[in-house]
Amino acid sequence: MPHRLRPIPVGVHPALLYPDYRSTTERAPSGPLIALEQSEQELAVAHFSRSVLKPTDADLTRQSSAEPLGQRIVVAGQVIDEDGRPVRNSLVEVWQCNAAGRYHHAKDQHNAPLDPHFHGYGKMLTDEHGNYRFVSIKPGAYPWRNHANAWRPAHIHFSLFGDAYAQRLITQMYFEGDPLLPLDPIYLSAPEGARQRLVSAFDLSLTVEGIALGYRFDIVLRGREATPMGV
Amino acid sequence: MSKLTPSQTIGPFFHEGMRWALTPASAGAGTVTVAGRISDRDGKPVDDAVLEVWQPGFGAAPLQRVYTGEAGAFAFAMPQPGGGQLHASVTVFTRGLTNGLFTRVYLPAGDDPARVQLPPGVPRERRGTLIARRDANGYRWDIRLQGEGETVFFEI
Repeated sequence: MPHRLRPIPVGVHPALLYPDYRSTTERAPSGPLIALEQSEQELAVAHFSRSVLKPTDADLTRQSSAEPLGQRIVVAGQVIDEDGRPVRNSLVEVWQCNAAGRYHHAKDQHNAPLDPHFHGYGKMLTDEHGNYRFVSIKPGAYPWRNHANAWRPAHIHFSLFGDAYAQRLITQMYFEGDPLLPLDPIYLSAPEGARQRLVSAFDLSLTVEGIALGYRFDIVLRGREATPMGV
Repeated sequence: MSKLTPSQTIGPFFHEGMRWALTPASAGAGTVTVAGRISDRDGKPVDDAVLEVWQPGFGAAPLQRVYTGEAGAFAFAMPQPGGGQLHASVTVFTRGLTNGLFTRVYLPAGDDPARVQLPPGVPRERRGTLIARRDANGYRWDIRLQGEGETVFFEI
Protein backbone atom coordinates (compact mmCIF):
# COMPACT_ATOMS: atom_id res chain seq x y z
CA MET A 1 0.00 0.00 0.00
CA PRO A 2 1.24 3.52 -0.72
CA HIS A 3 2.15 5.98 1.99
CA ARG A 4 0.01 9.08 2.28
CA LEU A 5 1.64 12.49 1.94
CA ARG A 6 2.01 14.55 5.07
CA PRO A 7 -0.06 17.72 5.37
CA ILE A 8 1.55 20.90 4.06
CA PRO A 9 2.62 23.09 7.00
CA VAL A 10 1.44 26.68 7.14
CA GLY A 11 3.96 29.23 5.92
CA VAL A 12 4.96 27.38 2.74
CA HIS A 13 2.52 28.22 -0.05
CA PRO A 14 1.11 31.69 -0.74
CA ALA A 15 -2.38 32.48 0.48
CA LEU A 16 -4.82 32.05 -2.40
CA LEU A 17 -6.08 35.58 -1.81
CA TYR A 18 -3.10 37.95 -1.95
CA PRO A 19 -4.59 41.34 -2.88
CA ASP A 20 -1.25 42.90 -3.86
CA TYR A 21 -1.36 40.40 -6.75
CA ARG A 22 -4.53 41.94 -8.08
CA SER A 23 -6.07 39.13 -10.10
CA THR A 24 -6.24 36.91 -7.00
CA THR A 25 -9.14 39.10 -5.85
CA GLU A 26 -11.21 37.95 -8.85
CA ARG A 27 -10.08 34.36 -9.01
CA ALA A 28 -9.16 33.02 -5.56
CA PRO A 29 -11.94 30.91 -4.00
CA SER A 30 -13.52 32.60 -1.00
CA GLY A 31 -14.61 29.38 0.68
CA PRO A 32 -12.19 27.30 2.73
CA LEU A 33 -10.56 24.31 1.05
CA ILE A 34 -12.24 21.12 2.23
CA ALA A 35 -9.96 18.43 3.64
CA LEU A 36 -9.98 15.32 1.44
CA GLU A 37 -8.52 12.06 2.63
CA GLN A 38 -5.93 10.89 0.11
CA SER A 39 -6.95 7.77 -1.76
CA GLU A 40 -4.80 5.68 -4.07
CA GLN A 41 -5.90 8.02 -6.84
CA GLU A 42 -4.17 11.01 -5.23
CA LEU A 43 -1.07 8.89 -4.49
CA ALA A 44 -0.59 7.53 -7.99
CA VAL A 45 1.16 9.60 -10.63
CA ALA A 46 1.40 9.85 -14.39
CA HIS A 47 4.60 8.30 -15.69
CA PHE A 48 6.25 9.80 -18.71
CA SER A 49 8.54 7.79 -20.92
CA ARG A 50 11.89 9.17 -22.06
CA SER A 51 10.48 8.76 -25.56
CA VAL A 52 8.49 11.99 -25.08
CA LEU A 53 11.77 13.91 -24.82
CA LYS A 54 13.49 15.43 -27.83
CA PRO A 55 17.26 15.94 -27.63
CA THR A 56 16.80 19.73 -27.69
CA ASP A 57 14.16 19.80 -24.93
CA ALA A 58 16.86 20.35 -22.29
CA ASP A 59 18.79 22.90 -24.36
CA LEU A 60 16.69 25.96 -25.13
CA THR A 61 19.59 27.49 -27.06
CA ARG A 62 19.44 24.77 -29.73
CA GLN A 63 15.80 24.75 -30.74
CA SER A 64 16.27 26.86 -33.84
CA SER A 65 18.58 27.19 -36.83
CA ALA A 66 20.74 29.72 -34.98
CA GLU A 67 21.53 30.60 -31.37
CA PRO A 68 19.29 32.97 -29.42
CA LEU A 69 20.59 36.28 -28.12
CA GLY A 70 21.37 36.61 -24.43
CA GLN A 71 23.57 35.35 -21.65
CA ARG A 72 23.79 31.56 -21.78
CA ILE A 73 22.98 29.83 -18.48
CA VAL A 74 22.90 26.31 -17.11
CA VAL A 75 20.21 25.62 -14.51
CA ALA A 76 20.51 22.43 -12.51
CA GLY A 77 19.33 21.00 -9.24
CA GLN A 78 17.91 18.07 -7.38
CA VAL A 79 14.25 17.29 -6.82
CA ILE A 80 13.79 15.64 -3.42
CA ASP A 81 10.98 15.21 -0.94
CA GLU A 82 10.91 16.61 2.58
CA ASP A 83 12.71 13.54 3.89
CA GLY A 84 15.52 13.97 1.40
CA ARG A 85 14.44 11.12 -0.88
CA PRO A 86 15.23 11.81 -4.54
CA VAL A 87 12.25 12.15 -6.86
CA ARG A 88 13.35 9.94 -9.75
CA ASN A 89 12.30 9.81 -13.41
CA SER A 90 9.83 12.59 -12.83
CA LEU A 91 8.71 15.15 -15.37
CA VAL A 92 9.96 18.75 -15.10
CA GLU A 93 8.65 21.35 -17.57
CA VAL A 94 10.11 24.85 -17.84
CA TRP A 95 9.16 28.00 -19.74
CA GLN A 96 10.45 31.56 -19.78
CA CYS A 97 10.65 34.80 -21.73
CA ASN A 98 13.61 35.77 -23.89
CA ALA A 99 16.56 37.98 -22.96
CA ALA A 100 14.54 41.09 -23.81
CA GLY A 101 11.66 40.13 -21.53
CA ARG A 102 9.22 38.91 -24.19
CA TYR A 103 7.46 35.55 -24.30
CA HIS A 104 7.00 33.61 -27.49
CA HIS A 105 3.25 33.81 -26.92
CA ALA A 106 0.43 35.42 -28.90
CA LYS A 107 -0.93 37.26 -25.87
CA ASP A 108 2.35 38.84 -24.79
CA GLN A 109 2.02 42.43 -26.02
CA HIS A 110 5.16 43.80 -24.35
CA ASN A 111 6.95 46.12 -26.72
CA ALA A 112 10.26 44.27 -26.64
CA PRO A 113 11.70 42.29 -29.54
CA LEU A 114 10.87 38.67 -30.14
CA ASP A 115 13.89 36.49 -30.78
CA PRO A 116 13.12 34.20 -33.73
CA HIS A 117 15.67 31.75 -32.37
CA PHE A 118 14.25 31.45 -28.86
CA HIS A 119 11.01 29.68 -28.03
CA GLY A 120 11.63 29.53 -24.30
CA TYR A 121 10.31 26.16 -23.24
CA GLY A 122 11.67 22.74 -22.49
CA LYS A 123 11.17 19.58 -20.49
CA MET A 124 13.18 16.80 -18.93
CA LEU A 125 12.94 13.81 -16.62
CA THR A 126 14.93 13.73 -13.40
CA ASP A 127 17.61 11.04 -13.27
CA GLU A 128 17.96 8.23 -10.70
CA HIS A 129 19.25 10.73 -8.13
CA GLY A 130 16.47 13.24 -8.77
CA ASN A 131 18.79 15.57 -10.68
CA TYR A 132 17.79 17.70 -13.64
CA ARG A 133 19.78 20.10 -15.81
CA PHE A 134 19.03 22.33 -18.76
CA VAL A 135 20.70 25.05 -20.82
CA SER A 136 18.99 28.32 -21.63
CA ILE A 137 19.58 32.06 -21.74
CA LYS A 138 18.97 34.40 -18.83
CA PRO A 139 15.40 35.72 -19.07
CA GLY A 140 14.85 39.48 -18.99
CA ALA A 141 12.61 41.45 -16.65
CA TYR A 142 9.35 42.76 -18.09
CA PRO A 143 6.60 45.19 -17.14
CA TRP A 144 3.08 44.08 -16.27
CA ARG A 145 -0.11 45.93 -15.42
CA ASN A 146 -0.62 44.84 -11.84
CA HIS A 147 0.19 48.29 -10.41
CA ALA A 148 1.99 51.47 -11.44
CA ASN A 149 5.49 50.83 -12.80
CA ALA A 150 5.26 47.12 -12.06
CA TRP A 151 8.06 44.86 -13.30
CA ARG A 152 8.47 41.12 -12.96
CA PRO A 153 11.94 40.06 -11.85
CA ALA A 154 13.75 37.62 -14.15
CA HIS A 155 12.25 34.19 -13.60
CA ILE A 156 11.79 30.73 -15.08
CA HIS A 157 8.51 28.83 -14.63
CA PHE A 158 8.76 25.23 -13.39
CA SER A 159 6.10 22.51 -13.49
CA LEU A 160 6.73 19.30 -11.52
CA PHE A 161 4.74 16.09 -11.32
CA GLY A 162 6.66 14.46 -8.45
CA ASP A 163 5.85 10.90 -7.41
CA ALA A 164 2.17 11.46 -6.61
CA TYR A 165 -0.72 13.46 -8.02
CA ALA A 166 -0.92 15.28 -4.67
CA GLN A 167 2.71 16.42 -5.06
CA ARG A 168 1.99 18.40 -8.24
CA LEU A 169 3.75 21.76 -8.06
CA ILE A 170 4.00 24.76 -10.34
CA THR A 171 6.42 27.43 -9.24
CA GLN A 172 8.92 30.05 -10.42
CA MET A 173 12.69 30.25 -10.04
CA TYR A 174 14.37 33.62 -9.52
CA PHE A 175 17.98 34.86 -9.58
CA GLU A 176 19.84 35.96 -6.49
CA GLY A 177 20.51 39.64 -6.10
CA ASP A 178 17.67 40.76 -8.38
CA PRO A 179 16.64 44.24 -7.17
CA LEU A 180 13.06 43.63 -8.36
CA LEU A 181 12.45 40.76 -5.94
CA PRO A 182 11.39 42.88 -2.93
CA LEU A 183 8.98 44.80 -5.21
CA ASP A 184 7.29 41.83 -6.87
CA PRO A 185 3.90 40.80 -5.43
CA ILE A 186 4.11 37.34 -6.99
CA TYR A 187 7.44 36.58 -5.32
CA LEU A 188 6.20 38.24 -2.13
CA SER A 189 3.03 36.13 -2.18
CA ALA A 190 5.17 33.24 -0.93
CA PRO A 191 5.46 33.62 2.85
CA GLU A 192 8.50 35.22 4.41
CA GLY A 193 10.85 32.46 5.45
CA ALA A 194 9.81 30.32 2.48
CA ARG A 195 10.16 32.64 -0.49
CA GLN A 196 13.97 32.59 -0.36
CA ARG A 197 13.73 28.94 -1.51
CA LEU A 198 12.56 30.24 -4.89
CA VAL A 199 15.84 32.05 -5.50
CA SER A 200 18.49 30.12 -7.38
CA ALA A 201 22.15 30.49 -6.41
CA PHE A 202 25.03 31.22 -8.74
CA ASP A 203 27.19 28.09 -8.68
CA LEU A 204 30.67 28.15 -10.20
CA SER A 205 30.75 24.34 -10.27
CA LEU A 206 27.80 24.35 -12.69
CA THR A 207 29.32 27.03 -14.87
CA VAL A 208 30.62 25.71 -18.19
CA GLU A 209 33.96 27.36 -18.83
CA GLY A 210 33.80 29.66 -21.80
CA ILE A 211 30.14 28.85 -22.45
CA ALA A 212 27.52 29.48 -19.75
CA LEU A 213 26.97 30.64 -16.16
CA GLY A 214 25.61 28.05 -13.74
CA TYR A 215 22.68 28.43 -11.35
CA ARG A 216 21.52 25.87 -8.80
CA PHE A 217 17.83 25.45 -7.98
CA ASP A 218 16.86 22.53 -5.75
CA ILE A 219 13.20 21.71 -5.33
CA VAL A 220 11.54 20.03 -2.34
CA LEU A 221 8.17 18.27 -2.70
CA ARG A 222 5.89 16.89 0.03
CA GLY A 223 7.14 14.00 2.15
CA ARG A 224 5.25 10.88 3.17
CA GLU A 225 3.75 9.54 6.37
CA ALA A 226 5.85 6.91 8.15
CA THR A 227 3.23 4.15 7.91
CA PRO A 228 1.46 3.00 4.75
CA MET A 229 -2.25 3.52 4.12
CA GLY A 230 -4.50 1.11 5.94
CA VAL A 231 -2.00 0.31 8.72
CA MET B 1 14.00 17.72 7.27
CA SER B 2 14.13 19.66 4.03
CA LYS B 3 11.92 22.67 3.53
CA LEU B 4 9.13 22.57 0.98
CA THR B 5 9.37 24.71 -2.13
CA PRO B 6 6.51 27.24 -2.28
CA SER B 7 4.05 27.39 -5.15
CA GLN B 8 3.85 30.33 -7.56
CA THR B 9 1.18 31.22 -10.08
CA ILE B 10 1.34 29.56 -13.49
CA GLY B 11 0.93 33.04 -15.02
CA PRO B 12 -0.61 33.77 -18.43
CA PHE B 13 2.15 32.48 -20.72
CA PHE B 14 2.34 28.71 -20.15
CA HIS B 15 0.55 27.64 -23.33
CA GLU B 16 3.47 27.03 -25.68
CA GLY B 17 5.53 25.16 -23.10
CA MET B 18 2.75 22.83 -21.94
CA ARG B 19 1.12 22.27 -25.33
CA TRP B 20 3.03 19.06 -26.11
CA ALA B 21 0.91 17.16 -23.56
CA LEU B 22 -2.53 18.43 -24.61
CA THR B 23 -5.08 15.70 -25.17
CA PRO B 24 -8.15 15.51 -27.43
CA ALA B 25 -11.49 15.91 -25.66
CA SER B 26 -12.88 12.73 -27.15
CA ALA B 27 -11.37 9.37 -26.32
CA GLY B 28 -13.57 7.15 -28.48
CA ALA B 29 -15.99 4.32 -27.84
CA GLY B 30 -17.16 3.76 -24.29
CA THR B 31 -16.31 7.30 -23.23
CA VAL B 32 -18.31 10.47 -22.71
CA THR B 33 -17.39 14.12 -23.07
CA VAL B 34 -17.56 16.39 -20.04
CA ALA B 35 -17.74 20.02 -21.14
CA GLY B 36 -18.05 23.25 -19.20
CA ARG B 37 -16.77 26.72 -18.54
CA ILE B 38 -14.64 28.35 -15.87
CA SER B 39 -15.70 31.73 -14.57
CA ASP B 40 -14.40 34.17 -11.97
CA ARG B 41 -15.94 36.29 -9.18
CA ASP B 42 -17.85 38.42 -11.67
CA GLY B 43 -18.92 35.52 -13.86
CA LYS B 44 -16.35 36.53 -16.49
CA PRO B 45 -14.90 33.61 -18.44
CA VAL B 46 -11.43 32.46 -17.40
CA ASP B 47 -9.88 32.01 -20.82
CA ASP B 48 -6.32 31.30 -19.73
CA ALA B 49 -6.58 28.24 -17.49
CA VAL B 50 -5.25 24.73 -17.86
CA LEU B 51 -7.03 21.72 -16.39
CA GLU B 52 -5.31 18.45 -15.62
CA VAL B 53 -7.76 15.59 -15.34
CA TRP B 54 -6.41 12.54 -13.55
CA GLN B 55 -8.10 9.14 -13.80
CA PRO B 56 -5.42 6.52 -13.26
CA GLY B 57 -7.63 3.59 -14.25
CA PHE B 58 -8.80 5.21 -17.49
CA GLY B 59 -6.80 3.39 -20.12
CA ALA B 60 -7.71 5.77 -22.94
CA ALA B 61 -6.29 8.85 -21.24
CA PRO B 62 -5.26 8.57 -17.57
CA LEU B 63 -3.93 12.13 -17.55
CA GLN B 64 -5.60 14.72 -19.73
CA ARG B 65 -4.41 18.29 -20.07
CA VAL B 66 -6.84 20.76 -21.59
CA TYR B 67 -6.79 24.54 -22.02
CA THR B 68 -9.74 26.88 -21.69
CA GLY B 69 -10.62 28.89 -24.75
CA GLU B 70 -12.08 32.35 -25.27
CA ALA B 71 -15.36 31.70 -23.50
CA GLY B 72 -13.60 29.88 -20.65
CA ALA B 73 -14.75 26.62 -22.23
CA PHE B 74 -13.08 23.25 -21.75
CA ALA B 75 -13.87 19.61 -22.53
CA PHE B 76 -12.38 16.29 -21.53
CA ALA B 77 -13.23 12.60 -21.65
CA MET B 78 -14.40 10.21 -18.94
CA PRO B 79 -15.46 6.59 -19.13
CA GLN B 80 -19.14 5.96 -19.74
CA PRO B 81 -20.63 5.32 -16.29
CA GLY B 82 -21.81 1.75 -15.98
CA GLY B 83 -22.97 0.18 -12.74
CA GLY B 84 -21.58 2.74 -10.32
CA GLN B 85 -20.72 6.40 -10.04
CA LEU B 86 -17.38 7.62 -11.37
CA HIS B 87 -15.15 10.52 -10.54
CA ALA B 88 -12.08 12.23 -11.96
CA SER B 89 -9.57 14.37 -10.09
CA VAL B 90 -9.17 17.79 -11.66
CA THR B 91 -6.45 20.37 -11.00
CA VAL B 92 -6.98 23.96 -12.13
CA PHE B 93 -4.08 26.30 -12.80
CA THR B 94 -4.45 29.86 -14.02
CA ARG B 95 -3.17 33.39 -13.69
CA GLY B 96 -4.55 34.82 -10.47
CA LEU B 97 -4.25 31.53 -8.60
CA THR B 98 -1.14 31.41 -6.43
CA ASN B 99 -1.45 27.61 -6.30
CA GLY B 100 -3.23 24.89 -8.22
CA LEU B 101 -6.76 24.05 -7.06
CA PHE B 102 -7.78 20.42 -6.59
CA THR B 103 -11.36 19.43 -7.23
CA ARG B 104 -13.33 16.42 -8.48
CA VAL B 105 -16.11 15.83 -10.94
CA TYR B 106 -18.59 13.00 -10.35
CA LEU B 107 -20.77 11.23 -12.90
CA PRO B 108 -23.89 9.68 -11.33
CA ALA B 109 -24.59 6.00 -11.95
CA GLY B 110 -28.13 6.80 -13.10
CA ASP B 111 -29.63 10.20 -13.70
CA ASP B 112 -30.17 11.06 -10.06
CA PRO B 113 -27.50 13.42 -8.74
CA ALA B 114 -28.98 13.16 -5.24
CA ARG B 115 -27.67 9.61 -4.98
CA VAL B 116 -24.04 10.47 -5.68
CA GLN B 117 -21.81 9.73 -2.71
CA LEU B 118 -19.35 12.57 -2.15
CA PRO B 119 -16.40 12.78 0.25
CA PRO B 120 -17.29 13.73 3.82
CA GLY B 121 -17.14 17.43 4.56
CA VAL B 122 -18.80 18.67 1.37
CA PRO B 123 -21.66 20.94 2.49
CA ARG B 124 -25.04 19.78 1.22
CA GLU B 125 -25.79 23.05 -0.54
CA ARG B 126 -22.52 22.85 -2.50
CA ARG B 127 -22.84 19.22 -3.65
CA GLY B 128 -24.04 20.26 -7.07
CA THR B 129 -20.72 21.93 -7.87
CA LEU B 130 -19.03 18.52 -8.00
CA ILE B 131 -21.63 16.62 -10.03
CA ALA B 132 -21.86 16.73 -13.82
CA ARG B 133 -25.31 16.77 -15.40
CA ARG B 134 -26.34 15.03 -18.59
CA ASP B 135 -27.02 17.16 -21.62
CA ALA B 136 -27.46 16.61 -25.33
CA ASN B 137 -23.72 16.28 -25.94
CA GLY B 138 -22.71 14.23 -22.92
CA TYR B 139 -22.17 15.88 -19.57
CA ARG B 140 -22.02 19.48 -18.42
CA TRP B 141 -19.84 20.60 -15.50
CA ASP B 142 -18.91 24.25 -14.85
CA ILE B 143 -16.26 25.61 -12.51
CA ARG B 144 -16.85 28.82 -10.57
CA LEU B 145 -13.63 30.01 -8.96
CA GLN B 146 -15.26 32.52 -6.64
CA GLY B 147 -18.71 33.82 -5.77
CA GLU B 148 -22.21 32.42 -6.10
CA GLY B 149 -22.10 28.71 -6.80
CA GLU B 150 -18.40 28.57 -6.02
CA THR B 151 -16.97 25.15 -6.78
CA VAL B 152 -15.78 23.01 -3.88
CA PHE B 153 -12.00 22.78 -3.86
CA PHE B 154 -10.08 20.31 -1.74
CA GLU B 155 -6.98 20.25 0.37
CA ILE B 156 -5.34 16.88 -0.22
